[in-house]
This record gives sequence, structure tokens and C-alpha cells, in this order.
Amino acid sequence: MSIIVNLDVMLAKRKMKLKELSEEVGITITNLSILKTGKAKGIRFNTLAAICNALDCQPGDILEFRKTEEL
Amino acid sequence: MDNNKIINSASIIGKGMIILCLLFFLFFLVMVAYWHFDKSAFDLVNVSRAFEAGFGSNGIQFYLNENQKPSNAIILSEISPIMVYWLLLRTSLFVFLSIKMIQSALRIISSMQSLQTFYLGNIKHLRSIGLFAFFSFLLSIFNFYYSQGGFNFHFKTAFAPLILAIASYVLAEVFREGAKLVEEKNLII
Repeated sequence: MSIIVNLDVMLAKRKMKLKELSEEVGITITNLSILKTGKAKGIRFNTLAAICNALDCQPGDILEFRKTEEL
Repeated sequence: MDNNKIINSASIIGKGMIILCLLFFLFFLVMVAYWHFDKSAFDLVNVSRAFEAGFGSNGIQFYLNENQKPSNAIILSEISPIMVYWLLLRTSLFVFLSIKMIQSALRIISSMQSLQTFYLGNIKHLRSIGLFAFFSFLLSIFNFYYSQGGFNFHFKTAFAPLILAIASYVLAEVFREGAKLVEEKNLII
């Protein structure tokens, strides 16, 4: 099982660039890139809240749970 | 890290120890060099303890007059050049190993001061302290003295460098765990 970060999808929907989101949320582009590429190990509630506020969306729009097939 | 008194003191003491080691080595070097020109100048210098096993040179005794000198003492002016060179080599190795250990410890301290305590370089520094301490332990086990009467071997187990070596390797593993935790913490956005 894994958590998929759909930040790029939401950014595209809102026609917003990563730099703009970075300035609005107050998180570095490097950290947002880590989040976007799925390399992050976790996300703080206040970060999630700030991103949701900036993109006018729900946490579920950014995060998605996908069950991986077991071999 | 905030202005931590212990860390700052350790840094100052470490630097002072390096200077002391270098001064001691310089003094020893000058003494050996002068020994070549005038052996009689060292008639009251007892180096018996320097030929005993143990960490470092164990000390050199200087007497003010002949009466203070024990009858069985090994006097610097009476020993062969080979033994003087052995003394110099052994002391040089201990000074070198001590300086390398202190330098590694100072690098760890400086990384702590710049808020990079759990970074991979410190694991390397701790492992090098462990390695140098282990070499010190091996070197301190054995010493010998050769005179016309034959060889005198001296063995002793110096636990202090061995404990330092083990503690350094254990600390290196603790720092490895710390580095992992820091990496994970940095990946929480």
C-alpha cells in the first residue's frame, strides 16, 4: 500500500506554478518538489492545511491511497 | 547549537592538548638531537619507565645530583643509539596517534557547533578515533630494552585506549542511527 501525492494534478487544475504555491504557503520549492515527486516520508497537518488553503481543496484531493498488489 | 559551555571548553582543551603534544614532541626531538652531540649532558636523565609497556612514553625522570639516581636506572647517556631511536619512534607514534584522535574529536565538536551533529562525516571521524585508539592499544601492549646483557621485554595491557576504541565504534553506530533519524525528519514536509 502506498500514499500517492497528487499535488501536480491540483496545481494543473488551479493553473498554479510550484513557485507561486511556494510563496503563498511559505515552504521552499525544494520541499514542495520532494512532496510532489513522492519522496517525502510524511506531511505535517499545518503544511497540509496551508496547501489546501492555497489550492482551495480538501486533503483528499492532494493525497490518495492506493492498495498495491501483493505477489 | 547555542553557546554551549561544555562544547566550547572541549574545543579549547582539545586545541591546547594538540599544542602540548607538539611541544612535548619538539622537546623530545631536541633532546635526542642534542644527545648525539653531548651524551654526558644526560647523565642524570632516567629513562627506565620509557622502556616499560603502556600508553605514551610513561615519563622521563630528571635528577639534580648523582645521589638521587637509583642504581638500577637506565640512564639516557648510557643507552645505545638504536634504543634512543626506538624511544623516539615509539613516542612519535603515540604523539601522532594522539593528535589524530584529538583532531577527529575537534572535527566532531565543530560540526556540533554548526548544527550538523548527526551527519555522515561524524561517523567516519568516530570510526577513525576508534581505529587510532586500537592502534594505540596495540602499541602500548609491548615495549623492550636491549643492552649488551640481552633483551628485556615488557608487556602490559593498557585498557584505556581499548575502551576508547570500543566506545568510539559504539558511538559511531549511535551516530549512524541519528543520521537516519535526521534524514527521515528532513523528509517530513
